[in-house]
This record gives sequence, structure tokens and C-alpha cells, in this order.
Amino acid sequence: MADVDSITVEVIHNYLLSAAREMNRNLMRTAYSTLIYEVHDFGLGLYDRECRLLAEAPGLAVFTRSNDYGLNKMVEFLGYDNIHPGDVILLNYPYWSSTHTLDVMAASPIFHKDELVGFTAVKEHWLDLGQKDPGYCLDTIDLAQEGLVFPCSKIYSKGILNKELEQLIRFNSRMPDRVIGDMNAQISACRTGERRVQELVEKFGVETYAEAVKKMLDHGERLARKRLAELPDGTWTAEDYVDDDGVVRDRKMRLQATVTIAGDEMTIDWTGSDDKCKGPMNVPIGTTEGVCALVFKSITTPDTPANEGNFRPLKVIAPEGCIMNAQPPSPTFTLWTALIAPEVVTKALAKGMPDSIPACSGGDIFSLMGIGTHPDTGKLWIESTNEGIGFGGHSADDGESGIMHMTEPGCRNNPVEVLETKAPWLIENYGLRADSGGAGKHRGGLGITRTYRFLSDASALTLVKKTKTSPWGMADGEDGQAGAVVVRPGTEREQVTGAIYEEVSAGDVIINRSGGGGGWGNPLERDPSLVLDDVRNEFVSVAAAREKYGVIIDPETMAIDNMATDKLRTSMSSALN
Amino acid sequence: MATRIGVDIGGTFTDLLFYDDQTSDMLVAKVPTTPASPEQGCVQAVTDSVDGDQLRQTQYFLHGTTVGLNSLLERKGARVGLLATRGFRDILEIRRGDRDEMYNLFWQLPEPLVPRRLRLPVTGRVRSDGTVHIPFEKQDVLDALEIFALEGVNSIAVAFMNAYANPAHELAAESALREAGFSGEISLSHHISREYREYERTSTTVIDAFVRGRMSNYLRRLEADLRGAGFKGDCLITRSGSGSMTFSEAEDRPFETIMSGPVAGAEGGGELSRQLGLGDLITADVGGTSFDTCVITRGRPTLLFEGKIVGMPLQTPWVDVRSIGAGGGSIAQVDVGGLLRVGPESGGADPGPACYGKGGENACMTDAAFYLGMLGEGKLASGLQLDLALAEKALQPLAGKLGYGMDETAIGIMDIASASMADAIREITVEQGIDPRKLKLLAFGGAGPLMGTLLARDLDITGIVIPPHAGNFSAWGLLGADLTRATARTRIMRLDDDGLANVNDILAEMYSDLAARAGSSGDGGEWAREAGLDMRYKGQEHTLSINVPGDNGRVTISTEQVREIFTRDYDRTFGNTMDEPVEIVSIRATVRHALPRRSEGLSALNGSDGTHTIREAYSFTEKKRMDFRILDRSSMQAGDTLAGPAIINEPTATTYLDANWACEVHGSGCLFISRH
Repeated sequence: MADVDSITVEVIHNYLLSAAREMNRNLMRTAYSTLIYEVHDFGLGLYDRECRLLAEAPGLAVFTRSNDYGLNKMVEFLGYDNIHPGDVILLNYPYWSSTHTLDVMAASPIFHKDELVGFTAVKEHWLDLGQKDPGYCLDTIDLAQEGLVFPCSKIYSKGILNKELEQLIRFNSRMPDRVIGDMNAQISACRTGERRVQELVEKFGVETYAEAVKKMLDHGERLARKRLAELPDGTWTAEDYVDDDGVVRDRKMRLQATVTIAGDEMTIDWTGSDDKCKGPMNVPIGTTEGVCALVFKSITTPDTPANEGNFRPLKVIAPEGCIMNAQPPSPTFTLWTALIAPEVVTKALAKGMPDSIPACSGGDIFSLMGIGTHPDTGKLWIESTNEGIGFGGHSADDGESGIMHMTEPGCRNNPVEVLETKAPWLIENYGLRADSGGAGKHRGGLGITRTYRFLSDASALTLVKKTKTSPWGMADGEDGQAGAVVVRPGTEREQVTGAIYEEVSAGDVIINRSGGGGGWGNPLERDPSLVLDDVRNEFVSVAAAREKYGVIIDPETMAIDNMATDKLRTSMSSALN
Repeated sequence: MATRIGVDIGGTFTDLLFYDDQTSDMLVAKVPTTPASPEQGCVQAVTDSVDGDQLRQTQYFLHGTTVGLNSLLERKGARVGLLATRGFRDILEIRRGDRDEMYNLFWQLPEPLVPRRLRLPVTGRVRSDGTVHIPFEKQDVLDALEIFALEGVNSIAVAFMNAYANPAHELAAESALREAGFSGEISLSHHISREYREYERTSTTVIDAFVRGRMSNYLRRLEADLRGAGFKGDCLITRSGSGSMTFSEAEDRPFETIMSGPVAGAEGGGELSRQLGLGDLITADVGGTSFDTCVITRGRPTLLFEGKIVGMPLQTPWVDVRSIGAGGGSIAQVDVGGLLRVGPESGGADPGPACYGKGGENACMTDAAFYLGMLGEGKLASGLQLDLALAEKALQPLAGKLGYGMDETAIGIMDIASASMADAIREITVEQGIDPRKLKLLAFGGAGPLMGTLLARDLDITGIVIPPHAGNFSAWGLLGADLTRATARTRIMRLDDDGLANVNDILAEMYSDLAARAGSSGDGGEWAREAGLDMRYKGQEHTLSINVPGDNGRVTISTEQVREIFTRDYDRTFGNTMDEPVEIVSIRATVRHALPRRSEGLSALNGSDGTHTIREAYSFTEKKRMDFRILDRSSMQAGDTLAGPAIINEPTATTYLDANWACEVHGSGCLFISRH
């Protein structure tokens, strides 16, 4: 083995990160759907030949971690002997790719001369693969309803396009042009990664490269272990609920996580969670591992780029057949369980380290999608956006308002002007939700509301699965307001709900309200001047200032009545004790 | 022929370059920046170094400044109120929802420039096709103005939904404000950008409103002071999107000057490439805290159509200068995992690197370079003598933690700094499909000539150019900035003969708008017209901008030829092409008024004494310490050649010429360095 100094390791590490960023840019600049270039619904990374993550680019964090598992399964299924220079391999068999069928992973081997030195992997959302409903499915009951499956199928074999597979995709999709266009963008990102790594290996030689990568990963492991060792040892259990499974609508689904920190190791155990469900809310084990890895990274090494070494001290347990370890042919299409799960883990950790964990966010990711036939073109349209949420307050400060859920930190909302240009709807408002942030010494961030008026008949779909439980507050902080979807407000057919997939007529209105974050610490300890600031900016109402914070503000003069405030706060805190 | 003065105000120093085209006299000065009122340092530099007669005969004063940028960074600007479409006043605060640090659960965005209570709603709604859905309600503007008056708002931004498609409501709001007697500044979003994406357009409008007052005051004071000193010529300032504009136009469009400072070096690179026929270049501007790089193709810096400052987007043309936190003052440290890192934290100018002797204790890149002998005797232009013992003392603890020798540690610092600069260059070139190995490296700034051969080694580049007065090159860049004006219109159409005819009609309108923008500033003379098209394959969103050759701003080539140019550029950028139809999305018009040509190149300083000394320094090529020749740049004549290893001193920079590299002095005064 070549002896590689730590300076070369750092040089190679930075090179790989810059290569991943470039794959990212190439993907966005050539993509066809707003979901990719506005919303950033993708995750990509570079791997070594043993499928260990070396570098990633921001997007859906959960995607990148699930690619780790998917790539391993791909190599296991095809075997190294069947992987050749120039191949691009598609995988979306959910139990392997670890997301639903529409999130297709494209991976390509990287060869230096005849030697395999690594892989690229790019996962992105495809608009349609002939699944049972256009756009998205909320109520499949097995995999067969979830669309075309690629069990490691080569779209390029030894550099030659597999035209038969391309035709198969074309004839099985409701939106063939955009799907093929987005796929080409994805492949071009893979090729970019390949070229950059080839140049790197060319420059340093295979041996030096391999040794540097090994040291880089070992360094990632050291960083994580060091931080874990500083955290308190213990075992903590928490639970939370997903609204329903999409098919059985009147029963919440229970998630339970038991987290153990012992020295420089962490175990997350999902035993105690519900058994597999009838609807598409089951989670493949690779996704479960990805979700755990995401939380693990956030609390151990949030300030350094992710690599496989970071995750070595983490062990994940989920009994086969439980909702967190789906087996074929269980339906997995909606997968929203995986978006609720990370904050079950932080809820458990919060019991052991209340100063290092924020209160619950107002999320999931509040996706809304419109699907219809465009009156001007007569063609199928699909447009969608995710929405920011309030983040939880924490020991140092208030939670931020209106940013994307922790599972999708690189994703963005779709602008009003873009959505109105692309689809026949009018957006009537888009703003922060006053009083949605949980009261606390450090207030939870505010959720967001966006109102859509459909201008022609269409289908409306919302992917919102955390409306029946509130975003939890911490350390005597109050809960944030849960999100909600309001269908046809102010009419006889009004309903306040979460996930829907239903027909709407021209003129119908849907409001998507995302949740506020939980508060941290006793609201009576919040600095009254901060409460006044919140009231002046209408983040908090005069009434809530009085009822939740014990601060009395004159709505005319916008001044605090200090004496009355002291008195009220004293009586409120004695009532608590 | 015209005499001109360029003044570039940086974070630490204000650089001046005076150039007399008649006599080819050139004069260089460097004075400390006066952050509280930068115009004072600027005028001081002018009056100290240029005598009264010369100043009276000077035709152009060209300026690069970070006043606008600093106003944003320090949040010192106008008290801005925002008028927004009812239901959308939070657009500025909701932003796009993403965050830079993927795993940070405590992420906090900077406060929006306008707090929520000063973002007020106005009834009225335009649809995406420009039709009016809800009529404009004047009373809302008047109600808002009352609140603004109570809150001391002196600058109002107006950004309505879909105003890029129909600006009627914004114009109505402006009239209502003026009728009601508002006398402060007003910024309208459609004046600033005619492109969609409400957050980005609103953000740009608010930035404009925020810096407008401060920028106007600054420019007026500066101009008055210059006039007072006897200057009678034209005052120009560089634009973020390349070229320059008159002070009066900058007062009207201050958001276009935010990157005025960093762009100057890139502009200089462009001019040098055109003058000397250097071909495509990569600029490497290494200062105390940052490394700035830009690609020059066909004699011009690469342009983007959106920029970003501290997380706030600006929808305006933007020279693609990338910055990373790596420079002479970058601090080296060993992280908890045991790896050596350099930057992005910086010791700045004060205390600066340990060897400055101003109390800095952290080992910086300059300490490593000096320890290795790369800065020769270490005598700086300001008269400061670097202290080797202090550099050594700062490096020692790092060496201890790493278990390395002192040389090894210092070499490591230089290698890591060079590698991260090389990564930035690789990204900015490769992403455009440009192979950096085929380009020359133009190294300038205080520490650029020091890094030249290291960067070239890391990038497999074979040619380096070091301009004279390398430390003041950005000020030189200012001197050649053409006067430019640019505008864009979004109009989506198919690329065919009808489409191109349409393009020519729209271009004609745009050129007359640009002529109107000149207003009373009365800058006559020849204006050349340039046209560009943003294009894409039908169905895509992002576009690729191409320059269309044509006749005085009219597109005269055929549809097939336009498609050919697009296909070629697309292939170069993304590595593939498609058989899909091609669309035109936006049309870009630029008018350019070239300043009178100055005589070729730059003249070097005179005063040869031909002597050199020998000193030991580390050679990265030979991987050992060896004897280097130390000489003064002023002792080198055009045509002279010099083989490395050598160290070449000049007042504003030090060139490190490693073994196996050789340099030749070009007639322009540039050093052309190539591999042996």
C-alpha cells in the first residue's frame, strides 16, 4: 500500500466534493421538470468500489443515504463481473433502492483503464412510470400497482444506449417526453462524476487514490466517535404517530424508537413500532437506515461533509415485517412514515440531552400537486411544490420560520410566478401563519400558508401526514400548531384534513397550511421585549401574548404594560406550580 | 488617447493607477482604506499622487468600490418599506426554504432587509399572462404611506406579483406615492428586472432601495470632491455585469454596482487578453482574505444572470467571479480528527499573519510561505519587515500536533491552500466544458504571483502571465472598462424564421429603451450594439446564453446558423446534444461605448541595477530547499529571460518562480512564465 500523507487526503477529499457539486449543477441546468430544477427533488453522490459514500451534494438528504443501500444491492444483484465501463444502471425496486418507484436511482461504474475504482449514483423523482394514479399514489395495496420497476436495468450498456429499454419507458409513462428529458439530465450528471473521478485517479494513481479514500473515511469515523463519546450515555424511548396508512383512514400508525448511546456507539431500535400496514406507508430497511443516518449525522458531525466513515458507529435495528422494515410485495409508495421518523429519534434523544436537541418541527414536507389536462394545450400537466415549516425552538434561540424539513435541506419551494405560468391555477396568498409557532422562552418558527384557486377541472393531491398530532414543545415549551389542508373553505363541502387525492372543479380552492415548530423553555421566561417585537410584526397576536406569554400589550400604542405584565406572569407561574 | 485615473477601493487598501496616454507615464499608489468615509481616502490618494495640472487634464475617473457591497454586509442602508401584492407580503421572508448547511438543525437565516411590519399589502392582482385579475386600489398605498411616515421610512420598494408581465400597478403605486408627497427614493421591481420568480425579483428591488441613498450620497460627494480638486472629465463606475456606467446612471440603478470592486480584476484580465492576444485566460487574484477567480473567453469575462450576496439573490447580470476564503491571511489549524486545514478563517490585515509582528499568533499562509523562503527577505512595500522567528513560533504547535517536521508542515499549508484554489478554478472551468490545462493563468493581487507556479502545477497549466504592478492590477483593470448598458426581455418562442424576425423587432425596441436610459447624462459618441439569446431545448427550464454575431445589433445569420451555435455551446457545456426543437426564451441587448484606446500594454518601472542575491528557499518542484536567485523586477528589461528557481520582488507583490520554470519579460512588461 502506498503511504499517503494527510495533505494528499485533504486535497483528494476537496476534489471529490467539488466533483459532486458539479454533478449537481449539471443535473439542474439540463432538467425538464420544475421538481428537479426549482424544488431540487434529488440526491446524488460519489462512491468507492465497495459502494462507500465519499462525497455528496445537497438535495434530499434522505435520498443520498438511501442510495448507499441501493448501490450495495445493485452490485450484489449484478455482480462485479457484469458491470462494465460505460454502463448506466437504473434501479427503483423499492426494497432495494430504498425509496418509492418514482424515485429512480441511476448509477454508473467509474473505471480507470480496466479497473473499477468507484461509482456515481444520482436519484431523482420521475414524473410518471405508469403507476395506478397520475402524479402520486396514496392508496396502493401492493407493488404491482406502483408502476414500472427497473431491477438494475442498463439504460446504457458499455456506452451504447439501450433503445429497447428507452422505448419501454416511453410506452409505460403518461409523460414520456419529460421523463426521458429528466433521465438524460440524470445520466449527464453521472457522466460528469465519472469524468472528474477518472481525472483524479489519473493524476494520483490507483493505489494512492484508494489509500487516501481509506484514510478519508477513517477520519470521518474518528470525528463521529469523538463527538459521540462526549454525549451522555443512556437509553431513551419515544413515540409519535403518522396520520393514517392511506387505505385504513381512521387509525393512526405508531412509530417507536429506542436510542442507546454507549461510549462511542449509537443504536437506534424500532422494535415496538406498528406491524406492516395495508396502505403504502411501509418503509424499506434501506430507507430506515437512511433516516437514522440523517439524524445521527446532524447530532454528531453536522459541520463536515458526509462520508461512509461518519456512519460506522451507528447500528439500526428494525424487526422484519414491521412498518420500518417492509418486505415484498408490501406497498411503499407514499413512504411519508420516513419523514416523520427522524423526529421520533430526536424526541428520544431530547430526553437525555435537552440542551442539544431542538423541539419538534412543524413537518413533514407539505407537498401539494396539481394534475390535469391543460385547457390551452390539451396535454397532461403535473406541477407541485413542497412547503417550508417552522423549526423547533432550542436552548440557544427561536426556531427558524418557513424552511424545508430536515429530510430535504437542499429542496426549495416552487415560486408563485413559475407555478402560475406552468399550470391553470391562481395562487391567492402565500404567507407566514401568525401564532403557529409554539410558545416558549425560545419560540417555535412559523408555518406557512398558500392558497390555490383552480381555474379548470383537475385533480388535487396533498401529501401531508402529520396533522393529527402536534409538533411537541420541550423543556416546558408549548406545542406548535399542526399543519392542515383545507378543501373548498367556506363552502358546504369544506373539509379540514391532511392527505387528499381528489377531483376539483374550476373555481375550487385548496389551502395548504404547514405546521409551526414547538417552543423551547417556559414562555413566561421569554423576554417581554421579544414578545413585543413578535406582536409588532404580527408573528404573535396581542391575545396570544397575554394568554401564552403573560405579556400585556396595548394594541393602540403598542406598548407593554409592565406592571400588569409582572402581576399576570406571577399569577400564571404560581398556577403552574 | 486620453489620460485617466483608476481607483479601486478594497477592504484593506485603496489602490490608484494614473495613466497618461500621451507620455505613457504610469503612476501607482496604495493608501489605507478609510472605511467610515471611503471617498476621503479615495480623494486623498488622487490629490497626493497626481498634481493639479495633470488632474485638470485627466479625461476619465474610473472607479471600483465596495460601498454598495459593504452596505449590505454591514446592514447599513436606508430604512426601507415594501409595498407588496395583498396576500404576498411575506415573499421576502419565506424565500426559497433551502439552507446551506444540510445537517444543521439550528439553521438561521439573516433577518430580511425589511421587517414584516414594514411590508404592507396593496390590493390589485395581475395574472401571469399580464391581464388584470383584481384592479389596483390606490387607497392601500396611501394607508401604507401613513405607516411608513410614522416609522421613518425613506426608501420604498414596490414589488407586485407578475409585474414582469405587466407593470401597470407598480407605475400606479409610484404615481400615488408621489402625488401624496413622498419625496424619498422609490424602486420598482419591473424597472430592475423583467424576469419571473417573485422572491428573486423582490430581493433585488429591496436591495436597490436599501443601498440607493447611501450610494447616491457617496457618488455625489466623491464627484464634488474631485471637481473641487480640479477634475473636469467623466466619472465612471464598474458594473457587476461588466463594463462601466456614469455616476448619474449608477445613482439610478445602484443594484448594478454591488460587485463593482471584485469585477475590476476580471475586466483587466479581459482587456489584457484582447490587447496582447493572450487567448482564453483564468484569473487568479489572491489577496489577504480571499481568492477570486474568473474565466476570460474571447476576451471577455464570463457573465451570469443572477448573483447572490450573503444569501440574498440579485436578478442582474453578474460577472462570474468565484471567491473562496483562501489568501495570505488564511489561518491554518489541525481539526479534532487530526487533519490539517487552511482557512476560511482569516487573520485579516490586523493582526494579520504572525510574522507581521502585530500580535497575531495563528499560523497563516503567509507565515508558511515566508518560513519556506518564498517571500525572499520579506520586506513589504509598506516598509514592514516580516519576522521569521514569529512565523516559526506560530507553525511549531501545528507541527507538534501533526507529528511533522517544520518544513513539512509549512509545505502542507501551501499545498492545501493551492489545492483549494485549484479546485475553485477547476469547478469554474470544467462546468462550462472548458479544459483548464489549455488556458493561461493570469496571477495578480498581493499574493497571486506567489501562488502562480504552485497553481499551475496543480492544474497542469503550462503558461502563467504576471502583469506589471501585479498588486495593483485591479486598478489597472478599471482603466479600460467600456461604458455599457444592458437589458433583457423574456419572450418565449420557437427558433424559426418568424421567431428571428420577431427577435429583431424586439431588439429595436430595446435599443431605443437603452438610448432613453442615457437621459440627460449626454454621453454622445459611438455606441456599438451587441445581441444575445437565451435558448434551450423545448421543455427544459434553464437556458444557455449565446452571443449572436450580427450587424449593429440585428440578427442577420440564418435560423440554421443560430441553431448550430447553440448546439455547439450546449455540447461544450453539458457534454451532449438532443434532436429536440430549440426555443428562444430571452433576448439580451447590450450597447457598448469603448473608451478611447490606450496604447498597448503596461509599462514596467524603470531603474535597472542588474544585481541579484542568492537565498535559500524551498522548491516544490525539486522537493527540497535550494538556492534561489533574488532580484528586483525593475532590473529586468523587455526580452530578458530568467530560469527558475528565482524570486522576483516588486513593490506590490512577490513572484515565486520555482525550479523547472522560466520567465521571459514581454514588451508589455508582463512576465510570461512557462514550464522548462
